[in-house]
Amino acid sequence: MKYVIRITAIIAACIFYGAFFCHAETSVSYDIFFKANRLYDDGDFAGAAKLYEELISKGVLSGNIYYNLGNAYYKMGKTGKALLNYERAKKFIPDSEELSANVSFIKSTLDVEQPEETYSIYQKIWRSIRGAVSVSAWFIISAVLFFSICLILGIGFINYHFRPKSHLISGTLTLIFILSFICFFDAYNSGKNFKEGIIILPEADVRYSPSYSGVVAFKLSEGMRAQIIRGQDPWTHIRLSKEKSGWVESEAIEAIW
Amino acid sequence: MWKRIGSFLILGVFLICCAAVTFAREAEVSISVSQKEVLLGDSVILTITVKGIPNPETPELPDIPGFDVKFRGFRQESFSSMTIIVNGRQVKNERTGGGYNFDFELIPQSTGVLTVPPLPIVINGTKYTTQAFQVNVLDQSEKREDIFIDVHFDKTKAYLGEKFLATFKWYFSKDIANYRINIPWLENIKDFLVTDPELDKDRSYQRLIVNGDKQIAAIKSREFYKGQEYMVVSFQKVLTPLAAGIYRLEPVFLKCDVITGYRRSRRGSLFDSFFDSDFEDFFGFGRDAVTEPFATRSNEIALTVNEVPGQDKPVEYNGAVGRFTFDVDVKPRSLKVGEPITLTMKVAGSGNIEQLQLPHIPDIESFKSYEPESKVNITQENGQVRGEKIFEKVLIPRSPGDYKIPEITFAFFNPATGRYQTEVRGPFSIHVDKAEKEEEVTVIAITPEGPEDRPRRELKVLKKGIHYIMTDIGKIVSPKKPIYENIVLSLLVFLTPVIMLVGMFVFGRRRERLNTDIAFARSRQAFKSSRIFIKQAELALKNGQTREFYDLLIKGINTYLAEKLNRQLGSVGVTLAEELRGKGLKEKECEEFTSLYEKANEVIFSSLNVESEKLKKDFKTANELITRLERILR
Repeated sequence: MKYVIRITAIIAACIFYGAFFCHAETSVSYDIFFKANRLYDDGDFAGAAKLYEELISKGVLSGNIYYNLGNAYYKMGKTGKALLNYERAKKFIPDSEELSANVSFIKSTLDVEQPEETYSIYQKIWRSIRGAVSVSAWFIISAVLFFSICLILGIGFINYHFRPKSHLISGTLTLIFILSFICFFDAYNSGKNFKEGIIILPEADVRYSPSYSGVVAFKLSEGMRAQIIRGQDPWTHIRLSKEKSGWVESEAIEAIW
Repeated sequence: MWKRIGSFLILGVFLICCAAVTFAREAEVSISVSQKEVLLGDSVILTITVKGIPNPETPELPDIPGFDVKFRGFRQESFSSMTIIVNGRQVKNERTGGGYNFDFELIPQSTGVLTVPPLPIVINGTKYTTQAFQVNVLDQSEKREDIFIDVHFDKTKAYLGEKFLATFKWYFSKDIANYRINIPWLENIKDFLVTDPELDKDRSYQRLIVNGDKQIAAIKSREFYKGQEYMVVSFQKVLTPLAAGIYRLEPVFLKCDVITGYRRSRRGSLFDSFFDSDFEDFFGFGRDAVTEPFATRSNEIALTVNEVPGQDKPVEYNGAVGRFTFDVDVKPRSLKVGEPITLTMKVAGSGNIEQLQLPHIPDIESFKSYEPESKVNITQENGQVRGEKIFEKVLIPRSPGDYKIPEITFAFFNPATGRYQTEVRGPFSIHVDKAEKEEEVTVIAITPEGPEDRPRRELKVLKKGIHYIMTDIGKIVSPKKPIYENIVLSLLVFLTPVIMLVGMFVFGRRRERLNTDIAFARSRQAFKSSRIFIKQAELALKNGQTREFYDLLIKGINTYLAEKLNRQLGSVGVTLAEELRGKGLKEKECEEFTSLYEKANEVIFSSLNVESEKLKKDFKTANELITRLERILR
């Protein structure tokens, strides 16, 4: 009995200490966040940005931190960095009205129109289906469907009378599962192979080859969005649309993720 | 059946292991080092080559004592294919390359023989360990008068809020083939913000590479120094202290190859191709130059940052340090209700312009105010950072009348005089008339609770801007990989339902067979059915009921055999001995089987007395027989 009490006390102490440590860690993060907000209110946007970046580098990630960082960069005149952090904030707070409003406002101030990729009707339909939910959501849907298929088939094996129905239901679910798994796989590959980035310098020359002697194809302004194909330091291969791709200095573009 | 399932599982696991081993054999990780002897200020490139793994993740190097480590980038080797054809027939086709090279820059921090220990690296979840190696770091070369660097700060003591202007100048009167500049405090310096000064748009700048990959806008010029003409490459950095204290900045390192001669004459202007992409043609000279390495460094510099004095600090002081002028403009002074007034406050001069905060403006009754906008213009004159910060605040009067915008005070600390200064502007008189069009009011009923019918104005957006920051940190998400990037967990997610399905399939099949195959069902039931009689026989044994004991024992065996062989109870007995021998029962066991029946008959029909030991032995024999039959009669 004494042994049990001792073990229970040790485990309770560990849990309490762990909770206290986590709380202490969280408290420090809140302190830094509020200090950054005070600096922002006082007009020290560079100081505020530095503290928000410090939080992010420590692994404290939230949509509000990225949003505030975007605001600080905008106030510093760095629209590219502002848009970049707003895009990062979208992952956490996609439904934020303030975020959408700020992004729309900044995009309306850009000098150059963002070229849009042209898709066929089938590509548009596929992209809208694939983009309906996140990659994680597709994975969960596929996993749940697969589990359901196996469960229904299994019940059919056990219960003879249910067997014909189980084949029908599992067959239908299998078709949906195949579709959802393809959506997951395509979304996962797209996210892995085709990163997106934002131009963070006032102007960036896009050249046909990764060299300063390469011909400048066109210029991008701060805040424009491009697909990052691959990096080859100090150059990055980017693509805006079917006819607009080239090489830009790696310093000029920063990946959203 | 279970044996078959087990065999398939073992075979499957074996095949997977073979595939994994085969796959693992193809992966290859190796390291190489650009040089093992360097001058202090130079760096070593450590290249990790990965082959056989598609799209490997960038490996992370741990801290290496004595070195600063930076990731320089990765290169992919292109594939090359070689086909050997003999007598018109292809006999060999080799494909090589396709590896990934990850370059890490190791910058030594001191002279001497430094050891890089074995480094553990993880690539796509697999751990590898590099070999240890040594790097001999030599001290700088002897000083030269034809090449040197100078790092100068406009001041070494300042107050918190003041900026330091650092000017870097590289003098040389010899031709240079390659160069490398390291500024340790450029990127990560505690308690300082390092920024670039405003560039002069009318001047042309060149890009200079420092710290391996940082590009800086530099000016090239000619200067006379101690009676000698030099080419000078110079640039500036602005350091803004964030905390008081004494700070020691490490020396700036320069390493370059000085051209001592040429193999063939191909001379051009020193800066003709300053920023050619081909590094070897940096200064416009080809690979034909004969060079000699040279390294040097500037002196260590100490900067002192003091807090502004606490004595005589005005209440309105908000951190402004420098020399400033302060102007306030209010327009218009006469207006109507609903029209905006713009209060413009301009602070100009030299100091911490960017960090200036809005001077305090007390609230004015009957005026609606909006969050102020600010903009900053910074210029650089004679090495001094100057500029202006303009605050604009919009006020809208709600009702007509004569108002006064009270005095606005701006306080700052002047480091030149060592005192605080206070500038006061205002008060400002404002006259507000009624709005041009009176709103038409139709009174339907005037009762304490009754409604009033009043037409309303449309809400107009005066000016667009960004929304305020979030005041709450929000939901914090831990930066962990999603489940689908963990192969083991992903496999588990999909494998578990399969295992469940297999289990349900096996269970379902067995159940079906039990329902349809009587022989199978009876066979499965045999042991259980016999146990009823065996247990009763055990009870009879304990109670010393010999006849009953043997009767129940034989019934147990007969029940077992009848169920197992799908026969009628009356048709089984000692006569099955031969049949059981044919099915695998050993000779001795057959004899035991037969003698058990004979004994039982003797006891049952002739009331023979049997010793208790014998009874126990027969009980044991019967149990062993049934167990043995259970194994051979599947």
